Amino acid sequence: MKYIKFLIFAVTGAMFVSCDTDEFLNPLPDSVIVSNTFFQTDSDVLSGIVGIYDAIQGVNENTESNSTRFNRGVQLEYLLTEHRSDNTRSKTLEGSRADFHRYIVEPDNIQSEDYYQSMYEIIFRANNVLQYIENADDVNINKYTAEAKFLRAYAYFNLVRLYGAVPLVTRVVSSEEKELLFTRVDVANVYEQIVLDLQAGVTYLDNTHKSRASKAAAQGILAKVYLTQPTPNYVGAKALCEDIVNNSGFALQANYKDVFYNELNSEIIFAIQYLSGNPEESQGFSSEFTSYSRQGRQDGLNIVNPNLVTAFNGNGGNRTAVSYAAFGDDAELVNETTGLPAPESAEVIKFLPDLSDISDTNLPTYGDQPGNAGNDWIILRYSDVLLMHTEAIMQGNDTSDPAALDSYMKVRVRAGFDAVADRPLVLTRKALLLERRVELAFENHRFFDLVRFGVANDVLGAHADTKGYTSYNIRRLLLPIPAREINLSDGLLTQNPQ
Amino acid sequence: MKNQLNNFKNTLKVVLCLSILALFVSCEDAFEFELPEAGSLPDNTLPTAYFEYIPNAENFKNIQFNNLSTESTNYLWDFGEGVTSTEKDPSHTFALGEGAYPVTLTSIDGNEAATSITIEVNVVDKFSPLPVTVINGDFEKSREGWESGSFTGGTKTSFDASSDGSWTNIEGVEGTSKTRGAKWKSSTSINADGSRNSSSRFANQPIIVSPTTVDRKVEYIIEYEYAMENAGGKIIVEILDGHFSDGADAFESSVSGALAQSIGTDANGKLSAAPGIGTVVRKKFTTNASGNVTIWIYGQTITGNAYVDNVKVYSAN
Repeated sequence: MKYIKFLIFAVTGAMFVSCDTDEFLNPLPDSVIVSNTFFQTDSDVLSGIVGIYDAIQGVNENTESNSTRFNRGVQLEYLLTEHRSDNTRSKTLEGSRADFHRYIVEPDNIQSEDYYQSMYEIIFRANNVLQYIENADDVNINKYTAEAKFLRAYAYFNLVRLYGAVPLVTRVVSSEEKELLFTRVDVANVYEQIVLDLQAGVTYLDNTHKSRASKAAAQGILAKVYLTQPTPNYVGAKALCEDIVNNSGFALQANYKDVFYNELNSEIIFAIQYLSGNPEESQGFSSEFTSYSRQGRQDGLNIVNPNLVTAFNGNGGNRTAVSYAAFGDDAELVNETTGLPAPESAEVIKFLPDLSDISDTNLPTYGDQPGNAGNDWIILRYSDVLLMHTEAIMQGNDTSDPAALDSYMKVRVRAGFDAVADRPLVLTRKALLLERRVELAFENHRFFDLVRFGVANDVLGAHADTKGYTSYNIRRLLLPIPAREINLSDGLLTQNPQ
Repeated sequence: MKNQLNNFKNTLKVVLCLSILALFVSCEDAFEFELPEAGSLPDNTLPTAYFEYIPNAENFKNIQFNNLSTESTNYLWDFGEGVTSTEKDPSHTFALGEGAYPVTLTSIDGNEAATSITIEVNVVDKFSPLPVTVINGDFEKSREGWESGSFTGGTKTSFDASSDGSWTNIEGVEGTSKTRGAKWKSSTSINADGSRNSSSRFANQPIIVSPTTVDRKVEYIIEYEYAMENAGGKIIVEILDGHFSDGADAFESSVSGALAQSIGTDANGKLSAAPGIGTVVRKKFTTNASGNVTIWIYGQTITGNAYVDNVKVYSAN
């Protein structure tokens, strides 16, 4: 008992110290820029740019489990996109990760907040680099500027599609500038900024890198922006896609599996790299996609819905065996009328960790370090560009245009379909959407495709009905702005109506 | 000891009675004059009304509304012409088609406070007809693209490939020499009574056009150039309802009535003799419900030679 005085003293002291930190009482909003780093030389600026990619890459959940202190970057994106489409779901209903597929994401959802933070972290780092860009060597200034702007545009493009109108911050600002930090800017104006930033990329970048910004990546993403923006620019999108096809030297992999297991191959235009077995540079999503035999801290996510299996049965070709696999009892399930596989749950296998062996459907193994997987995250690849080329020619209608059909058939033929017998006389928008669904499954395209094709409410409304997700309504197509941001904004930041 | 216990019990009873009494009294005090509204604050957060809309992908007249109102629980939509709805996110079909329609949304909260907004809903038909590329429409590749798959009781050979076509190319540009064309003559024509014989030749090309639906009539134009050396013959160009791999079926369909028919009788001479000799025909046709139609070309009672060139199909709009 005689130590109690010291104990009280120590505890009280500790309380004073911990309460005293500014950070605790005045947390900084995500969109604020704290400029405490100076880039004084060319190599400083370059390392600043590399740091932006680090924000996209995010921190592996299996390395740092604290969700508040570490951003996951692109690693959680599948929750906000694939889970909110008709492609995949969470196996359990527990936890905030299980909110997405049921359309019950609330403003306090930790993964949605994480993604929002991650995107603004990219924007913050890009703005910071741009502030000191003059300190780079003259020959590099345009290139570095374009690269930072490209990454800023990438982040804003994701934000505007998921959250609608968002605060548009394009320079370093202090936390006092609340008007700028928290005033939501019209979707059309956000797109204007995105287009400007990407055009800089098209002008000043070259095709040296695949894991960093390149001219082709800027062209491809700008094409998608043109197709997505409120008033689509089909002519511009078509020209960009044609330039990639004709002048950039990308090509489809002969074998669909090599797209995913031969990193930075001829088909990859832009990918975020991870290193297998390295806790600092690896990703966690590969292990999160497992469910039959649990790997990593989280699992049972991105589980394949039966209606996607149906789409694959009809249109997958040789992609089916590479895209997902069913284990245990699910591997035996077949549709009684068609006799085709009909697993209730299947796992995504486009991103299996190194040394995985799933040949035994009752005993799949995932190597010795599934939680530290090194599979890259593909942001843009060539077959997406080919299908965008078709989409741009179609201009929102069905088509029989030979060039549109040619690009579409290149993707189909690689999947094992016949160039003549399977070539349609008329390509409908529905068929193109279906082709994109199976070609780009689990690569976080489906949700954006549905919205861009103007059928999101029809398709997802029907999907929610079938699945009994009664919380779905058309407003759920936009995520709520994270509550933390709204709380920090003194009433400036408005919420998306739910 | 017993006395003490009794004292304690008595005191306890008194205290209990007093406290129950106090409870009653205090409850009465607290609630006697309390009205349901007392202490409540006025609702200063009034409803806001706003909405967006998106056309149905299958039917542009059907508009899905997205209610973006706040602080409200009940809704009244007015789509005009007396049509209303109280759903939160209704959809409505504007039967009249394209146009701007004022739609009013009134958002009402639990206190019956209401706010209205009227927004012009633009119903736009983004439809554009399928472009049609006629395969080998300039006959530079002879009969490619024009043969029937089979021909019961007839010949698959569609015409005589000829070097005596028009001086004008498929783009409508007049060149410095003749191009290739398609030729029919007496032996490859059909009979005067409309029946065919085993050597009658027919050009057969399936094409796909945008279908005509209940909501929409779609028209195309088939354009071609022809010339005949002698009067009395006919060059007949038809649009048939459907695709036919057997030419005999196509002929049956032609006999029972084509979607459109154009009969050329001009005897201008040999098509390749000089620039601009041929007659250019533009025939409008309304598409069928399937969108599958066939270009069907043949000659009747031709003497000498008859020529066809530069067959094109395009939207009439």
